[in-house]
Amino acid sequence: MSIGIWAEKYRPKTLDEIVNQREIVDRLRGFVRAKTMPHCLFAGPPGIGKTTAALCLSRDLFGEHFSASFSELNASDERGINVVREKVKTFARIRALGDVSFKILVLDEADNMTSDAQQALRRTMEKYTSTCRFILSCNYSSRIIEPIQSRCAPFRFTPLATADISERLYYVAGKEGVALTEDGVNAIVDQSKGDLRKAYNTLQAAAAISKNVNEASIYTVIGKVHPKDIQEIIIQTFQGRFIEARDLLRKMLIEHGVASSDIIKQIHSEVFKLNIPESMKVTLVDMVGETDFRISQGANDEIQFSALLARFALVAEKLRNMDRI
Amino acid sequence: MSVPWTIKYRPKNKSEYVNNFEALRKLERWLLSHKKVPRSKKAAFLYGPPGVGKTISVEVLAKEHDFDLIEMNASDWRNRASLEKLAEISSNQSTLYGIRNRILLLDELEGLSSRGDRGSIRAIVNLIKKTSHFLIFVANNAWDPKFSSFRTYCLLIRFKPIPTQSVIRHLRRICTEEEINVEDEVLHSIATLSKGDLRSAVTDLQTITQGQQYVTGDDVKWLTPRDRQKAIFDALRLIFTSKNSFEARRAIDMVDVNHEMLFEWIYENLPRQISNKKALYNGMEALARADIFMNRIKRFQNWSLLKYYLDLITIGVAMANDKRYQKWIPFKFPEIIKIMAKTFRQRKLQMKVGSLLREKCHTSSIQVVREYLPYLRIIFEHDPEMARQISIDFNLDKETIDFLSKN
Repeated sequence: MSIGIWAEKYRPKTLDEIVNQREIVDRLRGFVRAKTMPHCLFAGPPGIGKTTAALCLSRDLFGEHFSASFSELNASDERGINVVREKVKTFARIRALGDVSFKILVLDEADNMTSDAQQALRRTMEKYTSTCRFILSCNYSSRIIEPIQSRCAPFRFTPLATADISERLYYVAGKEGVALTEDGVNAIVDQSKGDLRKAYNTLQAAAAISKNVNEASIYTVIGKVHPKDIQEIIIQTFQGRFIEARDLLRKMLIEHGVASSDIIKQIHSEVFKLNIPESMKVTLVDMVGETDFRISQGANDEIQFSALLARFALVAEKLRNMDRI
Repeated sequence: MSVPWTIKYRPKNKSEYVNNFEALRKLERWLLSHKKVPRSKKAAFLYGPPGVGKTISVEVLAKEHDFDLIEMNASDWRNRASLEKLAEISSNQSTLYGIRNRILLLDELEGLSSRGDRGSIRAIVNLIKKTSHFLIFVANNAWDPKFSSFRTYCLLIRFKPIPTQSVIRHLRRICTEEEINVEDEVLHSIATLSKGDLRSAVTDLQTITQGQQYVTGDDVKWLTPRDRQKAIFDALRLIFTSKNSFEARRAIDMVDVNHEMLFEWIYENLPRQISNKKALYNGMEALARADIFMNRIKRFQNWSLLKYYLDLITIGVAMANDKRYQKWIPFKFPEIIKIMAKTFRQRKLQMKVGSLLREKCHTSSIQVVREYLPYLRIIFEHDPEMARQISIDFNLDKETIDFLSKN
């Protein structure tokens, strides 16, 4: 455990500590009471407790045997299905200790696996089902093949409620000796959009700058983490400078490693700030949604964003010709 | 101009045929001497570099001697089923016009991959044995090992690069027809750079002279002698200028880089070549659709979808532009390659941070880079105590700490 990174330090240890996802936690508690469970599929956006729920469930189930009975693999770091299969084999071969007859293997970011790898995984899941239960975690359950979905109990995690996030922020601030103002909390909540990890990270970075955390210091952090690039990209695009916009986009994606999901979220909210006819905003949002979907299906983010920007540029030109901007 | 000059000035009969007369005669003799008697060689194999008249020689002779010509390109017969269908057609003697001689032309034979298309090679051998028609293969290199199983059945006919003087003569004839005035020096440069590839010389000429009545030495300066680069430039020129899907699609066969590299070239240059916003959007959307197909190909390992990807990046982009672009804009090397090289060290260090943190943060390296790294930088810049604690927690070495501290 890390005490240096707050998101880790304040990660719940047991199911009882989890403050949200009530229905899900209730069902997981049922698994603990019955000492049995099916394979599970945890789906939902990042930072809302999928991994935490898997960890807490396992700790509650296995107690002192947790470390021997629990293992975690990340599909995007493990090269190829063979590595996964080997690890599963070694892990599942030795029987579980204690009174629970199986072990738990969490496979994170399972939606990053190719469908071939998923097919192979499905056979592995079947083969070791008596000794090992799988929890697959993913952002998009649509990218998980049908046969796996049908073998898993589905759990759809939702972004945290505003009240839950602000309560946790006040709690952590109190523990860490940080003076946190209400407008500071609101700024974090507004920015993190239900993602508790992002909320913690934002708070910690602001606290590194000053122990007095308020709206201004939060915006300093947000400004550094999300440079005004998106706004700039859209401005350039609307002024017809597509090549410059694309260069900025590349910089964000490749040099700064900004997640495409963050970019799409920001483009989405920028659309409503644009000085264009209201009806046009719907058209633009429709295109943003299409791009979001394509990327979620695994398409290349830079290419898809470029196509989106080209569409924006076309709209901008039409509006200019009509003297609407 | 709506028709590519390579089509407009394609030789229509023997007298218009440029050079390679020896090969032409050899092919003609084979076709005529075997018109009735059983032939010793069952097929002809025309080989030689691109753009020297291999396919055209067949077209010209078929017309002259009234043969039926069935042409198939690599893209048409990449699978065994279509070859077997061809074998079926070819064992059936009569044509619509009654008994008539028929030529089956299998073009772009290099399109066969030696590994993937083993079934196709067998089907070709089968086709040679069964057919009662004139079977002609066309490829750049007849000596490629993948052709070894059927080369012996074939009469080999070699086509040589077109001599520079013949290229110049052909180009000059086009200039006269088109009523454009081009300096000798320019024709000479084009011809020299073409290295005997008449088709590329004609394409170059058309691109350079677009919209101009007088062409001088300056207009030809962008032509680079580097072969690979030139092949890509030729391909891009086709893609950005063609009004015809056949021509645009040909671009794929002109380059020896992989498809994704060609994609990068097109993607880099599209907004530079096309300024019209409607056309830019159409082109980008074609690339985005192609990208979706590539994703499907990779996820489902369904390579039969590759043809749609290739169609979209060539024809899709070519058809995006309804207005002909007038001025010459030089092609630019894909920026992405440079950026990747430039940021290599930085990305390596990022991933190192990712691999050091991922386990304890229960996530993947790439997620660490995205979700934690920007915040870590702020912490390392402003709060030494917090940074020290994190460094201890994760066993960070000096290189990593330095990387996180510098902004």
